[in-house]
Amino acid sequence: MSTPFTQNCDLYGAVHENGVNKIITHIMRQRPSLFNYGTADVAKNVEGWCSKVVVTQDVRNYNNPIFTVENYLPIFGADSPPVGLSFCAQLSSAKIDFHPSNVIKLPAELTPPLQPQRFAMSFRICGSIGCPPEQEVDGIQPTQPAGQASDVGLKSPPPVNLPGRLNCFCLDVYAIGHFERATILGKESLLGKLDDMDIVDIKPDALEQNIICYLKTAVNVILREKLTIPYEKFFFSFSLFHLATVSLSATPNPPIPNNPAVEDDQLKVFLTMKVGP
Amino acid sequence: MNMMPTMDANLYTQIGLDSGSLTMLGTVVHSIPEPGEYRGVLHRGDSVEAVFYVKVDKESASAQANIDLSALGESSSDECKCHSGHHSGAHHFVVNPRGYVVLHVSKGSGGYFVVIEKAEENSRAKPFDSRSLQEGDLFAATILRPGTYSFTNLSTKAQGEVVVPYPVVGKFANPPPAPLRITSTRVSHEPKRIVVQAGQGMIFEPKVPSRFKIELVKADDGPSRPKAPARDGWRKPPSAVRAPSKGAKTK
Amino acid sequence: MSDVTIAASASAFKQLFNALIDNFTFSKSDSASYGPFSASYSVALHLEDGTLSLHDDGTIEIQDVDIVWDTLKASACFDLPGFCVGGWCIVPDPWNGCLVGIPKICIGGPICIPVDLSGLVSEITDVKASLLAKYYVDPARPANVTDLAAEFAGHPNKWQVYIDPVWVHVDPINVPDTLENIIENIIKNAIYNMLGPLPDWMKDILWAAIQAIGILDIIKGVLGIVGSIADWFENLFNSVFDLVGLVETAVADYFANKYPIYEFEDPYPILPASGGLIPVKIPIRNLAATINSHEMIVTADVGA
Repeated sequence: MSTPFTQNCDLYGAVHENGVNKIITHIMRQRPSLFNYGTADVAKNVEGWCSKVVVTQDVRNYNNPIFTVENYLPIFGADSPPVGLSFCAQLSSAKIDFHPSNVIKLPAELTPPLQPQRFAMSFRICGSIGCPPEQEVDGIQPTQPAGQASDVGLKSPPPVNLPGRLNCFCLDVYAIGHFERATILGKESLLGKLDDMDIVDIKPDALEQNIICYLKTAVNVILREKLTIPYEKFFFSFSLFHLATVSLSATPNPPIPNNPAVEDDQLKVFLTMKVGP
Repeated sequence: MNMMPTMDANLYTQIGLDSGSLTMLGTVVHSIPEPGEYRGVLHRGDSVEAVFYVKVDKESASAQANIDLSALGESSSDECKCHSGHHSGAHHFVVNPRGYVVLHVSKGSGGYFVVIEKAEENSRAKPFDSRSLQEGDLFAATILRPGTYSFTNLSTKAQGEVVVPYPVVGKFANPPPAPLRITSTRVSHEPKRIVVQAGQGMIFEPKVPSRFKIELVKADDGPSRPKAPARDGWRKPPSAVRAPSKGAKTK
Repeated sequence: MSDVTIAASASAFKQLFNALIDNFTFSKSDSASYGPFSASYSVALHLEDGTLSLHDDGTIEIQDVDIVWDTLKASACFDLPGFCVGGWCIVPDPWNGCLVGIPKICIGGPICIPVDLSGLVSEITDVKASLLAKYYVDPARPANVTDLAAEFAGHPNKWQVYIDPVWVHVDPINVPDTLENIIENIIKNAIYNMLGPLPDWMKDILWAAIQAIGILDIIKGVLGIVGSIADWFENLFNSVFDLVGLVETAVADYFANKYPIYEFEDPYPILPASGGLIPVKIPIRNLAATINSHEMIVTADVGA
């Protein structure tokens, strides 16, 4: 007879990587503004998006945004008036692979094979800036430079946002990471963390490293801010969480060496129950 | 036969009996030996309550006709107070000439007397009036209230005494013992003094025209019951009122 | 392999079971006529304790759950035979015994014997059950709306896991023999209550008449009791009122239909609504719940 799931704990939960990948697809379709960013003009121009966005009918029914609208990219040094460029940045696909790795082929830079208790991720990031035509630049009317004594009391000139044509590119990004327990907003939660990342075909290396730094930091911050999973959610609101006489906490080591554990293509969590007031 | 239990208050509020004014605890038994149709009139005080008919029939197997005077009075109350010649709404009973008509009251305050006479015109037979029982009639009486009673034949003035002891658990028979018989002559009753258990029957057999009346002389309320402890009541507190001091101004 | 696996140990499952037991209540009142007497009852109960064992054949066995009867009252009402005046023979008949008899008037009335056994404890001796997963569609769910609209309307669909009984055995209520001792006082009080408005001497006559026959003999005669009064009330509770059957049915229905041991919304909200953004909900399919001797296991797939 196989070993019971709760051999060393009271509550066991596990989600297979296939399930997680389906969940990622659902999140991307129901919360698209988490994965698509751009200036207002780009957000309105469906035909010009770098990547097609698939959303559910409910997103449209409840007027949820597909893009998160951001400020125009400032041109450094241009302050009279300030000048901005439009841009588009989209995460068009994401996939996860729990140890042992059998879904994602990691690049050599990430020293495969995937180590135990690790997950691998692959993303596709597409983006572009809106490159303005020359006549748009020629049409800028310079204003009095700021900083002269007679300018006291005068307001800064309004920024000029130059429309431009998007010239989209896509990057394939690979990452490896692990899961941790964390208390987020007062709740015991699961938190995913990227440890390393590689972007295919970016040179020079220092440029790649800078982009990786930005992307890895961005992903880790968004995972922490938006995508932590409270234990109760991980266990689909299992009834034990609603009993006043029971408290649940992560099973310690020993007897559980890794908690959460990433193994057997699954993410597993082990909880121990304490009965009493 | 009335078997339904009842708590009719008249059972315990009417103390004493009168064969000429029947109540729940008194019954008159009368024999009509001559076959024929008889007409009875139910009276209560000065009013006529109902009319009924008794057919005395040699072919009848009925040894007794129970006539509930209270039922007669009730059922006739919505109909005409019928007088001689009217049969509508009347009640009919049949009995053998060797049987008896039993006049009883099953409920209510009673106070009835009955006159029965042959229904044919110009009958010379003497009517029966339950206020004057003749030899052959019977008056069956039951006393419930414990005490000492006098029984008097109002027609002859002969008197007697009935003692009904207070019921004692363990010495009380249920059903009560057999009824005692009292023969009433012109000068006396025999026996003159009887002791009966509450509920035990007495059968008065008149030898002369009689009307029997039983009256409570002295009630027996049994052993005294402990009274509820007296309350202290209210008393004025000792220093509640002070006399006015000298020199105090008054309005 | 299923996308999602959740397992609860036997001791964790016992906590779920305890909550199930704690939430059960039952109450009922009824009355009926049974010829010479009528009877009524009023009962209310809750459950306590019990042992639970899980088996490798996928079944759960629950034993020795206390049924605490918070209210266990019954009343048997009948006309007290009491005491009769008249009925005796006035003209004897040498052949038939009595030619003319005086009509009988029986003094008595309806009395009720109230029996209050509240606080009595009996037992659910055995329940055998398995787990059953059901998909619940709220009948009040508006037609032709999305799952999100149904959730906002307060009528989401749900996955539910019930304990589905195969059998429920409840012990008969055991009326203590000491009832016999107190029944005489109960009847005396009932009779004195009935006789309330009567003068003392009349009450004493009736009481002496009843005692002459014997209170318990009168009661047994009217109610047709052959054995002890305690046994008669026991039979009244268990068979005539069929309280045992009622409790068995109520327990089975509660386990199977009223109180799921586990339930959650479908689609399941994994990210809450935030700043005007709709919640993110994931569809769950193929939910199954099983038991083995160690644990309860729930498996499911994430829908497309």
